Amino acid sequence: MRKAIVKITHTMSDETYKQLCDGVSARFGTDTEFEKVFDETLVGGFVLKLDGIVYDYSVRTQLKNIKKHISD
Amino acid sequence: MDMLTSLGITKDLIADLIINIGSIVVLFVIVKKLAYKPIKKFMDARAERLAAQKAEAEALSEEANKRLDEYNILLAECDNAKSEAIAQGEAIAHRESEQIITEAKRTAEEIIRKANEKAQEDYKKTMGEADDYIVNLTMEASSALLKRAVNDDDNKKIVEEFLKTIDGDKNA
Amino acid sequence: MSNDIYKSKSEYLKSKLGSYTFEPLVYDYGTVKSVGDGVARVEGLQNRLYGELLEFKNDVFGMALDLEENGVGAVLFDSADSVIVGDSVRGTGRVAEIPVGNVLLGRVIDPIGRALDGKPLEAKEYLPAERPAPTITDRRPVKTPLETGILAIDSMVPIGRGQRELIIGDRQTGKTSIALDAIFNQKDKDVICVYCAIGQKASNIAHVIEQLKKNGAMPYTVVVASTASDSPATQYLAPYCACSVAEGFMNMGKDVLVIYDDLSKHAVAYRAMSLLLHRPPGREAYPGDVFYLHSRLLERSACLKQELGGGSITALPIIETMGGNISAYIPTNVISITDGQIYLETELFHSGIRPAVNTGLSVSRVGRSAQHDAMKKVSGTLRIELSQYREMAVFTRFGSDVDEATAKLLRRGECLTELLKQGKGEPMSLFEQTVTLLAYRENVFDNIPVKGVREKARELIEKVRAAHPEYEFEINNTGKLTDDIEEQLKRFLGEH
Repeated sequence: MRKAIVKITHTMSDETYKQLCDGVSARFGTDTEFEKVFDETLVGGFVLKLDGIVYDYSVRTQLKNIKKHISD
Repeated sequence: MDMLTSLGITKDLIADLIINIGSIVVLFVIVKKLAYKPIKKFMDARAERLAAQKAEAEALSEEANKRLDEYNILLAECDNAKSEAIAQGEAIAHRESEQIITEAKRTAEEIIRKANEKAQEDYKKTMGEADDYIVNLTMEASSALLKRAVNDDDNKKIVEEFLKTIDGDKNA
Repeated sequence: MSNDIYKSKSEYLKSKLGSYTFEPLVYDYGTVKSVGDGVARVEGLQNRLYGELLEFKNDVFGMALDLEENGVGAVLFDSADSVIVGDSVRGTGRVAEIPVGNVLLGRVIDPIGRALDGKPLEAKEYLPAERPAPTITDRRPVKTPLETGILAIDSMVPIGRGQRELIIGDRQTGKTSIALDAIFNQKDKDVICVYCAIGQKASNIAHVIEQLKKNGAMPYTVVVASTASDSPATQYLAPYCACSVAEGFMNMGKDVLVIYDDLSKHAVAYRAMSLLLHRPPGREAYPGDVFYLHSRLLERSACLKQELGGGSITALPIIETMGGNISAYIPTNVISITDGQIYLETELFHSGIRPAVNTGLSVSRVGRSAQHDAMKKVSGTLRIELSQYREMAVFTRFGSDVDEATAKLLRRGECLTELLKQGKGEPMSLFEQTVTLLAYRENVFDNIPVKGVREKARELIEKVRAAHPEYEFEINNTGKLTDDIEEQLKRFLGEH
């Protein structure tokens, strides 16, 4: 029984969220329990914490990267 | 004789006269014999002494003249040396003043160069700061914009990207 | 801003934005299971590197030193107050690094690379704190002298560039003073200095920095400081970081002098860390690898061969003994690692002999090959004379009468001991040292009361300097004392 924490914003529809959870279960195993957390600071996208690994696909992180990319 | 007596000239007077004259003669002879020589010696010696003193004085005077000449020569040399020293001193002062001027010029150039460098640095820094400011502004604006603009389609795209990646991992 | 600049900026931005691609961030994370005594136990985060930097919340960093199957034990660098159980911990994938390069000259930094002198530090290059030492084939023999400016050391215990020379003694015997004098003497000698303060009082470190500034040494010195209030992990890292800073300069072909002040506190900090990580204690409660702790640090001091730039690192580690006991665990370890030691004694210090160097027990294993020719010529018999003097001096304590030969020996010994005294912050150039020792060898001081010998030596140096300035130039710049100059000097000294 593994636990996954998914942080999303309110702009994500339930349908997309379900798509995400199904995809993860298919890949990692169907005994995954999902916890939904709303975090508006992400601006968009999601952050998935599972099995000791963080998958940060949020727009906020991308903005940070862009900023660093420009400054170089 | 009576004529003589009427004049007052008695025998005693004539005797006195003869005795006096005789005494004078005798005295004269005695003094000449006794005193003449020593006195002459004394006078000669005095004359010699005076002559010697005169000679000494002349010699001193000559020497003084000689010394005066030497002194004049020395003075002349001093003057030469003085003018030489002055000339040398001038040369040195001139050289040093040139050095100082060159040094001052160099320092001034250095200062100007440093000031230029600093100005460049400051300019770059300001430009850098301006850059950062622009970037920050842009990011804030984008972020604020995106907050309102992100819709579900974008989210869907991101999720699909993610699923593709992990599926790729699974098959690998 | 003018339109041109605006246009160029926007062009630049557009191009940069165009070249950007979506890059998701994927990283391992762990959870803090317990925290206390500066050690945090993290669950998860397997597959870490040994010594990897872990990032906790609020910009707190730690070093992973205990790698277990289910997690890691990490020592925290900063105060552990802000780390709570349950916090997420991220692995950074890199081990401890320190900035290197010319940008560090004149600065004071801590082992994490942060500037401590109030000005921002912009470093371009970084080197890891732990690096392998140069291999055997990368090195060349130590031949060039490192002048400390201290007569007692340069004449009898000479140090070469690339050597490790230990400065060992009790507290308050002048160890740091010798090290600082060596730094001051490197002015205009193209040697960069790194002073590493390990676990010292902040007031002491401030005093040292003040002295460095006053003597104009800051432009060629870097200070790596960890105070006594820093965590054991920070104190543990300090010397390795200082060595990496030095290696940064050595790789540029420069000669570097590193002072580790002091390694006793370093061993104590490592012991504290190991005990908190529950590592089994060994002798004197030190962990079993305390020898390796210092050997891997000191082995990184080397003299590189010309093909690699020809740079060198000379290390002057400092060890504080207790009660003059150089047979304790840590002192014997470090003595066996270094290429010689300078042994400072409290008794000598209190009897007015400063620097308090015990010339009998001090040794330099590189020895004469690291001395200038001029010094070799005039310092040949000094050690023997001093040791004979010491032997004889014991007998005179009993008030016995001595024959003429012994009396002469004693007198010369006293004279030499007086000549070797030197004030703090008064370095002597090679010329001054050569003239002093030559005068001693030529018996110039034989008829002068012992108390006035140093004054006379100074006088002689001034006279030679005034009469023959070309000798000073020749000796200082070529390091040689030609037979010609030696003869003329002997004659000159004999006349005065």
